[in-house]
Amino acid sequence: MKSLYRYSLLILLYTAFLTGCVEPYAPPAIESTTNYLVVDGFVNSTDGTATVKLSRAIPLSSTDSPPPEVNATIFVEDDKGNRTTLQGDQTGNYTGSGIPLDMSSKYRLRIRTVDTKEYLSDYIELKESPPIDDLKFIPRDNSISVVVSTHDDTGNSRYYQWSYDETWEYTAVYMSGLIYVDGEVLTRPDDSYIHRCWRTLSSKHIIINSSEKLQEDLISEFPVVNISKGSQKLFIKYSMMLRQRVLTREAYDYWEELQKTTENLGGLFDPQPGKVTGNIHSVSDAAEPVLGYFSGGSVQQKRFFISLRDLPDNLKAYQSVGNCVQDTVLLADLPDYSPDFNELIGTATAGPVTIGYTYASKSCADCRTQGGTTTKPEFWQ
Amino acid sequence: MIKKLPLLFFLLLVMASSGFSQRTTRITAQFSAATFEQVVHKIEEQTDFRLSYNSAWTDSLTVDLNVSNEEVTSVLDKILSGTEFHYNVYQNNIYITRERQILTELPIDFFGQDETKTKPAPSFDYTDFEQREKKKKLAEEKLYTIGPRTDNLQGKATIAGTIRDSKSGEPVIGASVYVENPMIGASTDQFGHYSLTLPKGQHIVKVKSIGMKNTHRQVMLYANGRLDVEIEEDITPLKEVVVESDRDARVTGMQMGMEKLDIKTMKQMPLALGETDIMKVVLTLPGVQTVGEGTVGLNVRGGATNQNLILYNDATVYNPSHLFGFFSTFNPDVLKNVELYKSGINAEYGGRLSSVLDVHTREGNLKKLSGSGGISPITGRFSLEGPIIKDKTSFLLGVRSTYSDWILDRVKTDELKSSDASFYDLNASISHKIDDDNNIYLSGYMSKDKFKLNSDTAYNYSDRNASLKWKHVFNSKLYGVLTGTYSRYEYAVTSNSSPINAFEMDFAIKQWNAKADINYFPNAKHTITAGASVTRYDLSPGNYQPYGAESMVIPDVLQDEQGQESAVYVGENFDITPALSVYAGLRYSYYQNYGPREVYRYAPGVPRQESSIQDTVQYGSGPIATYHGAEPRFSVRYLLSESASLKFSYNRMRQYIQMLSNTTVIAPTDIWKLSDSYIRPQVGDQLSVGFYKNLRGNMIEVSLEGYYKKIKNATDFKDGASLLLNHHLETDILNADGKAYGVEFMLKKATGKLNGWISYTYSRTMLKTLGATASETINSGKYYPSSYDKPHAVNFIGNYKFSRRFNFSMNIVYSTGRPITLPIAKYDLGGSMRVYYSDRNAFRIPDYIRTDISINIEGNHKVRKLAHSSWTFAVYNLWGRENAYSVYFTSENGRIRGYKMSIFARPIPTITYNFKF
Repeated sequence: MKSLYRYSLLILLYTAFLTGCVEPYAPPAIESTTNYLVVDGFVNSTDGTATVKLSRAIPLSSTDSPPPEVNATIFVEDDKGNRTTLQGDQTGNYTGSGIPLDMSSKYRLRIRTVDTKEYLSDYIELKESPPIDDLKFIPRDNSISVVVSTHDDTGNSRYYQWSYDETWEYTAVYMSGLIYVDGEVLTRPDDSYIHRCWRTLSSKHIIINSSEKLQEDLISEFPVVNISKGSQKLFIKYSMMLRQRVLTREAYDYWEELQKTTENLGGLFDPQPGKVTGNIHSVSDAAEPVLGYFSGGSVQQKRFFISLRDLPDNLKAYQSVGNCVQDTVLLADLPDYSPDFNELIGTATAGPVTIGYTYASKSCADCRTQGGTTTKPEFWQ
Repeated sequence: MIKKLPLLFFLLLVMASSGFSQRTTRITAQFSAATFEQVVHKIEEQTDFRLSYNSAWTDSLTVDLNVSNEEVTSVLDKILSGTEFHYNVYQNNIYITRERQILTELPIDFFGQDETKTKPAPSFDYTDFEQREKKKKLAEEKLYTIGPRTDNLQGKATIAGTIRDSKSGEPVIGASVYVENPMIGASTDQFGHYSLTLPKGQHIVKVKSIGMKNTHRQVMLYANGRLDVEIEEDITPLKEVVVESDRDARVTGMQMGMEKLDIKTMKQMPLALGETDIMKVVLTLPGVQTVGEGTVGLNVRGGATNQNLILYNDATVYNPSHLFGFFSTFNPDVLKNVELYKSGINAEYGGRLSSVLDVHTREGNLKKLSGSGGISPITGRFSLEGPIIKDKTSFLLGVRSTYSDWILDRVKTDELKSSDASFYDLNASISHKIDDDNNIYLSGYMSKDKFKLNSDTAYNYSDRNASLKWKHVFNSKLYGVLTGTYSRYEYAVTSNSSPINAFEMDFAIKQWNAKADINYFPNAKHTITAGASVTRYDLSPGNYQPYGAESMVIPDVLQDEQGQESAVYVGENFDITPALSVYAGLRYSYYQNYGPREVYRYAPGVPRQESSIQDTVQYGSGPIATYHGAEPRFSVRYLLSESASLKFSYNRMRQYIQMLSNTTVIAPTDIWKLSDSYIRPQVGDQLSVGFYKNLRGNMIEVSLEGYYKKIKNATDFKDGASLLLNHHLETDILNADGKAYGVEFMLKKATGKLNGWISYTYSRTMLKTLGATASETINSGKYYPSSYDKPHAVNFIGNYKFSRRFNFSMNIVYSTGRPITLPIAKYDLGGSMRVYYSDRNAFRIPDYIRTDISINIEGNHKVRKLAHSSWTFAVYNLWGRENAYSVYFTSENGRIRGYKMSIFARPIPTITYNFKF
């Protein structure tokens, strides 16, 4: 009888309950003009700054990174005739500061590219963000969810967007106490330990939510990110700096659509993806697609920490040794030791006599190989 | 001897009357359209005679007579002369007999009605089979006299009646009833009814039907009359696999672009999940496509999935799918047959553009209680049927359910912990024969689905309908059917990811329909059908409510939509010469969208969007928008030779209700929308031409059909349209023009050890959406392939019978991949790569190929045993080919990744056990 269950279950699994039959797909080579202008612009009313990043789209099959659009002229204009010019650099980032932003005015971007084309965004409203009420984690079965709560009693916010920088502390499997310098083995100086690192990443996915269907303008425990049990992020200590912005209805629709067509696909009942264009248009050619969005308003932020001891016992996990092994290099063999790939851990002794050194590969003894730096961030506590 | 008997009785009577003193033997009466019963009553009142007669025989007699003090015998002479009845007088008793009762052989009806009593003692090995054979022989050798005997054999007369299964009493649909000289034939309709107009005189009327034994009746036709025939099931259903009666119908029949599938044919085909599924079988026919494997959305000749009228015993079915479409909602045990009309659609059908899928259930067994069922890895099903009043009233009950929930409960893996899937469907029907001329059919159906896929969102939907039909035969040339149906489809989505946001969203559609149809056969050359129908629609397009006490969701209720669609039609089939037949029909439909409802007005000249709403018009309960139009239907058939024909048809269809879906496959949350002041009704015209040829004595059928279709006001969507809970759907929906054309070739071997068909279809279907502004235009207003445009399709279906008990089947299906919108560019936004999509449907997913096999093993064929059983072993997707269901691209950790998703990517074996008692 037991095998019957298993058999029946297999059939169920085959059908739809698991998406077990998903494999990478390389699309046919597509030849078409793709160097559309991409504008990622934001005016920050909290500090009076504006940042715009200009780049170009590239073919899907391309392995290059998208080229920045440099030497363009960009103005932030308000609806009363004032304008501020932004300063560009060679990476396609254009910035301006000290802009007198007024919540009652409307703003737009005017862009002139080096090929003398002119682009204009729609006028946008600046949106004030209410403070973040709460940022915490909720334990789940096999992961934790970092959740955010906020509200706006005036009911004017409704559409929220978040982004974050996450930082976590971790260590290499082995602690390297010695250092090999030009054929000599020295005790590692305090300031060059490579055992403990901090790594910071920024959010990549679109995190939006709206309270438009609720009686109150309230976001309650909305999951920002899930961290699975056993992630390196939770071995020692994790920190998140969450930024919250309020979007206009149009901006929210744009991000939601972009999310639907570029992140949430792969189900049985996917909507047909389509073109998603934002609020920037070519002045001369209405049919030219311009990608990206320009928005503005205030930014609220909040930081919080999760230490290993904060986790419930069933979610606590520790770094495992994995494939890491320590080997020994005898004193006589020291000239053959390759310091480019390994780090020395400690001395190997036979009784009281040092006969050589133990070592391990860099990935096991140098935490920097895993993307972090040994510099403790200023905010770390 | 036969002729002399009455005379002998008469003499006896004369002698007796002289010998006994009697009150009287004379009566005085006036009969005007009186029944025979009334005559009997009068006789018994005024004389001492007691009459013995069978009222079932005499109820068709009507008497118009004035007699004054006349001998009863002479009265009876007057009444009964010219009929098949005779009377015999013995003392004070008069026996009314039918002529054949005094045949030396016992009549067929005698056995049929009273089998148990008359069964001879089995003193020797006289099996059931031999008995039946003997009965059949008797019936075939007997000469049936239709109408009062007369010497005048000039002109024509019509015989009509019902063909029934002798075992279950069920009407046999689609049986061929014909005479060979001259070649005149008809096939039985959905009530098993036929009508045949023949020259008066002697004929051999032959009856053929799939899976039934051929039989014939010798008929002496004097005048219009009735001939009911019971035919026997062929005990081994494997003997005749494919519709034999339809063999020459394909060439000689009027209908083109029509496929009729019998449940027995369907049961032979390899199964995907251990169930015979009519929708999957229909998909193997030329001209029928689907967008996603495992879905029940049919695209017939380039039509959208919502352009198919799916009728279940005449009631509309809105969602024929279970479990995301992996099953269809039709329980195979209660089905009788399915007809799919792709072109040349008769005027009686209307309301959808592309096709009509007419599903009929069986009638319950009129003779004895019986049941059948099956168990497959996912579902169990059972049906029970039998007489309520023997030979008059029968019932049929069917139930089917999954036990997947039960399995899921026992498997606590993480992925499945919060999953949940179950469905069931119920069918019930009662048919009642009031008398030979009146039948009533009541049918009900309900299906329900519930599922939750590893998430906090649960879906459930249910489709139910009921129909009541009354068929009345006025005379052998005219019958009518009154039908009332009710359909209701609803779904609900509940989400409780967080108590504050928990909600429930409901959608419901209700439909009432009443119609009257008549069929008139004035003579051998003409058949006239006419009728009228009224359909009322009532939609609740969205009701969004808080779910649970903590929920803070604001209720959001979309306004109800009401509409009424009325239609009248008339159609005539005219056989101009034996070679040339013409069908001409006209349907006129009239639709009104009713209030009360608020309608937005938009600023002219700018894209229709929320920001261009100028004001709101409040309509009362009167009409908001009215559309109407003629729908001509026309077909011609010309016989090139006895085995080849050429056909042509044109039809126009109008559709006033559409399903809105911007997912490629039918999704559980698709909504229906009535035509209103912004969304105009869809109008489709189709021209088709076909050539049909039968080879090798009708063993091989070849057909070639071509069509061209134009569709006005097809629904199309803006990129990123949102359809759920949208108060102004008109801002997201675009009216498109569509065109579709194609050629379908089919080669079919209907009989023999090896049978099956191979078909090739070339078809294109394109849409053009050219709005007033750029945002209302798709792909710069050029024609682009619709999501279900799959130019090449090849289907092979083969059956090989090793023996009567062992049957092997194989399917091979090939089609071009469906069009998709692929990304053409990528760009960096906020540190993450995003994709930019091409023109809509500019690319295609890889081609689709699948092979299935199945082996059917029947239990032994002993006629008398408790239950017949069979085993089916099937493998779906034998080679485990990973056919693409979809191709998609997502941004993951800032990078773009492309994926191909396949469902059913591995061979799926199933075992099904079926039983029947």
